[in-house]
Amino acid sequence: MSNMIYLQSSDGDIFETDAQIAKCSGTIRFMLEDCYMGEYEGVLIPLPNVNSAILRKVLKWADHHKDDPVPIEDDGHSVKQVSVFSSWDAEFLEVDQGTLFGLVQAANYLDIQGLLDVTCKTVANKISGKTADDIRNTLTTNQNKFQDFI
Amino acid sequence: ECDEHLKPFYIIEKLRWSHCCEFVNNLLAFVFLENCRTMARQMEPTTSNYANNKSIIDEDIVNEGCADSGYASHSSLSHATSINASALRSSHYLQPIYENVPVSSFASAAELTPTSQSIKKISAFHITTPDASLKRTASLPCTPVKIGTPKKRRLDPKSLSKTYRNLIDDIDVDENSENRNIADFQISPIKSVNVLQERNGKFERKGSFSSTPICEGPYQKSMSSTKTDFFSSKNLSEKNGLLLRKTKSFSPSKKRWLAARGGGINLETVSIPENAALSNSARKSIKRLLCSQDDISPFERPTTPQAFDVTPTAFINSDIKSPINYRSTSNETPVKKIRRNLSFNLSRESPKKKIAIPKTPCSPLKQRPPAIKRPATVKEPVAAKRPLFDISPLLPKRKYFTHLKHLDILSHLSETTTAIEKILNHLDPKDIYSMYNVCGSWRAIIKNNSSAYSKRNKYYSTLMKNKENLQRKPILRQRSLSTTGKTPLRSSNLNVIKTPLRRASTQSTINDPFLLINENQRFTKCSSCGRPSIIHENNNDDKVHEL
Repeated sequence: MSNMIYLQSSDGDIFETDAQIAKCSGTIRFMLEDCYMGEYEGVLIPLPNVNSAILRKVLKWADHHKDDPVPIEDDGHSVKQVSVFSSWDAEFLEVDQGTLFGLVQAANYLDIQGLLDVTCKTVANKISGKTADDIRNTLTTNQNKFQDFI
Repeated sequence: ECDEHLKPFYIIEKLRWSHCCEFVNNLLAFVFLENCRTMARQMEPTTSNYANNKSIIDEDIVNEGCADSGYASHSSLSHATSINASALRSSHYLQPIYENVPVSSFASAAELTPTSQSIKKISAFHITTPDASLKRTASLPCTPVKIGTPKKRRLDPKSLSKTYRNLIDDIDVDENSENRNIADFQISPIKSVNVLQERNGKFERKGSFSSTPICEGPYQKSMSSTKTDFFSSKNLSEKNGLLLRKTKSFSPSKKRWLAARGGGINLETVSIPENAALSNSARKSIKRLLCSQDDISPFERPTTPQAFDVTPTAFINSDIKSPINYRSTSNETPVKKIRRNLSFNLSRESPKKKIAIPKTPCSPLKQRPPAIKRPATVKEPVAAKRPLFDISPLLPKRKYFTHLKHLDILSHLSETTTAIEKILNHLDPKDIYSMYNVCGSWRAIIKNNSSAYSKRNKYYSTLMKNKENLQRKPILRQRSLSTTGKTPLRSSNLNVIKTPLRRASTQSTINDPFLLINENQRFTKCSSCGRPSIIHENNNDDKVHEL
């Protein structure tokens, strides 16, 4: 039995999604379990910090990783990260830096560790193996702020 | 052939028919006949047949003519009346009857019939002289007459000169006063104030324009006849003459002023001598003139002081020395004379100028130049080039950076420690070292993350070990001899393992002054190692190599 919930982005768009898929987000999961006491059929959850474009991408990633194993919690303090950077993720995250930044922010806000790891890994991949000048030319547009370091 | 009583009517009839063409004559003849009729009525016994006479002018005809000739010309009427009047006077038939009766008595309104009265009114209206009509029209109420005070005319110089000329004309100069007897006139103090002035060889007074003549004629005659300076003659002044109290009434300041102007003349002791040559009339006139300055109590004094101011100066300058010399200039016109005398009489300065107004020092405000009026254009306020307060930090930041090709992700994720940690965890020390040199914000992010910063420092230390000449240059900074490197450069290289230096044996041996070589020894180069060595040569040709 699938429980459909509704997610409203900051710009007003409402996305209908399965509760199991949405539960990949720690924020939504805690909200459904704590606020609605397990009966979250047709619940509309507003997400003011996520726009529709980013939310659509997040739901797409969540839908693709809905079958992934749940991270194991050790003693309630640390979470064993099981992150698998697949080729699909690499293709999924071949986006512009603005969208990538939005995905990082959304993953951090929605508490999606898999997505956050993947995005951060992508950002790290953009930085690794490059000198300081290459990093300036790749990740930044304003070169004036780096005059002291050139 | 008719009755004698009707003779005049026949004459009238003839006259009437002679002017039958002129209808007006009929009218006037009718008037005449009416008058005659009334007279005939008065004299009924003599004119008993008058009423039955049929030849008299029919009244109806006359009335018609009157109606038609209502607008007869004035000249024709007057002409007709004159003819009738002359005929009436010339008629000797009527003369005995109406000799003593005036003509105007015929026109009495009570005696005339209504028709004749109307005709008379008409004739009286028309028979008027042009001058009389003009006068009548001038006084007609229909003519507009301005009621009110007449406007004051400002006299221009031309009109002023005209007024001066009229002024002179108004001066009543009695030219025949010389022939008059002085006894006929009474000396008036007001008249004595007048100053005589020579004009065209005759004296005329100045200052007063009264029509009554003054009695200076004999005086003038005597002056002109004698032509002697009797005032300055000493002999005459010493005599008991008429002592003039000329300047008695003057104030001391006036006296001083007069003395200054008089050139040292003693004004108070001027006297008129009793000269035999002078007649009584001349003496009286002189006395009158000179006594003009005396205070004559029963008479009024002129109110204006200028009138008194003139006479002493005139006498001082002219009369005392030479009484006839009145600044006479032959070429001077009367207008100029009057102007000169008027200007002489009047004070030179206006009383306003004489008022001593203390001149207070001008305040600095008064010394300022007058303020210049500026045009009423209001300048628009200039807009500030930059806002007073930078509100950009208060504005909401852009939350979404989608579709941006390049974005400084780490700087925007500086507050998101989790993401920063994950990113930095995926990076090796070399990448962190390069990130450390990207910019200050990135350097700050790395410094905030302890693990990443330790990674960077470890990498940096290893990098410094493996790289030559990474030591800083204190020698260049400290230019003292004590800081000069005493150790060789090789020893300062951290990367080179420090090893103790070997002592050069060759130099020490060679330079050793205590090195002795025996006879059976030889200091040569070792053939095997090449170093200097001492070779012992024995009998057995055994060579011992010794270092």
